Amino acid sequence: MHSSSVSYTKVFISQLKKDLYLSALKRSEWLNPLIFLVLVQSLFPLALGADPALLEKVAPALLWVTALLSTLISLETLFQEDFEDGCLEQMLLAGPPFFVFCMAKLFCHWLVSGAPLVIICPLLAASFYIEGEALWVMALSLLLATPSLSCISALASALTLNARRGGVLLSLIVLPLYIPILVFGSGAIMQSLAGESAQGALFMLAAFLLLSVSLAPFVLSSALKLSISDS
Amino acid sequence: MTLELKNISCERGTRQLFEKLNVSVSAGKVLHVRGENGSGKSSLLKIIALLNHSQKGEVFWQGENVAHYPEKYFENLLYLGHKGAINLQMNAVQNLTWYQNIQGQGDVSSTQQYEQAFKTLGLYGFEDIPVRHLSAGQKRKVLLARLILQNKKLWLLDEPFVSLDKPSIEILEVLMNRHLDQGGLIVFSSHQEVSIEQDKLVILNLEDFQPAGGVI
Repeated sequence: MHSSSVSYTKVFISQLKKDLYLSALKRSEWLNPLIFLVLVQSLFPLALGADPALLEKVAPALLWVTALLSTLISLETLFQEDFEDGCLEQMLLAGPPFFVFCMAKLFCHWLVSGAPLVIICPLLAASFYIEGEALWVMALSLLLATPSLSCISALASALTLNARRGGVLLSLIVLPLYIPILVFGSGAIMQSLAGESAQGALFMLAAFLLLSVSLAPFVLSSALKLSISDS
Repeated sequence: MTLELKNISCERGTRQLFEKLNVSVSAGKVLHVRGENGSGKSSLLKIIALLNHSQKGEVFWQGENVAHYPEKYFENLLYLGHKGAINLQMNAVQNLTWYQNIQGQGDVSSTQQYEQAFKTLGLYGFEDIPVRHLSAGQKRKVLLARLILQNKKLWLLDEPFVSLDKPSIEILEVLMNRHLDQGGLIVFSSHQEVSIEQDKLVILNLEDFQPAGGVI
């Protein structure tokens, strides 16, 4: 059997199946950040009082910041298990290029920690008196931005695999990279609430998306190879 | 079919574990890597599996430097490392299926050797139990099933006899001898003697390649 006869799509799907199966077994790992997000986003309107003007003003920033923080909680476990039990090593030796596996792991991470945000945040936005077009802009901005967030998180967790208690280091690497996404993401909603066109900000988010999704699998595979080499 | 190691050196931290290691093994032969704890046995196997890029030296397979065409080399390689590479949440069949799938092959239950592999290793009846409920020895046996299921020329086995009971050790020795008879090649590390014919056995003592000073 020659390696060129191996279907990368099949390998991608089987890796994705394994990761989704394991995510289904370890529900708390991805449910906890989501519950945190729902709690914060639903408690704020209660604490701030029912002033539509005020709530509308703080909503874009608040919804986006909580979305960012909840992805931050969910990222440490991304490669840890595969690294410790040695499955990462076997992926390197499997034959198909390593980035295929990285793409599968990224996609799985987005499915369980990014995609739910796209649905949950607009639902909770109702309690902030956000309606109409701004809701769609919000959903779209999250849809465009969450894959980039997954890529950045994955990269940071790959780089800190060997560091003991890499948690703090991880947040330090990740937060500055999150900031442009935060700025344009909440910016899009604010512009839409102010009655302006949110196109510019959304295009920026789309540009981040293309850049991170096309480059991350390759950068990730190099970072993981380094971590395996050093272990 | 040959595996050649040329001028391999390995350092860990500030310690030079071994240097200028040259050895070659041909089809039907076993390389038994020996050495005390910490002498670099696992590191050497990782280097041969191209998992450690920071070390010096070259690995040749069929006369070609494997760094140039790693895919071609990986096709022939089965590496059973220090880390078991077994997911504790999944059962034996799921774990082995994953191994098959990531190499572009179908599910493990569809292969002919599947039943035979489980019976040979005494795992029959344990297929559906999550691996975390199995004993240490049974976990190792799930990994050893790969030796039967996957048709690879070069076996790299890091301490394959660890936590196996006596009958299982004998089974593994039978598997190894059969692999050699079929023209396969084995590199393994172990502290114990293995019943393999002397003329097939190449012994590599890592102590022989320790640098004079030890510390650099």
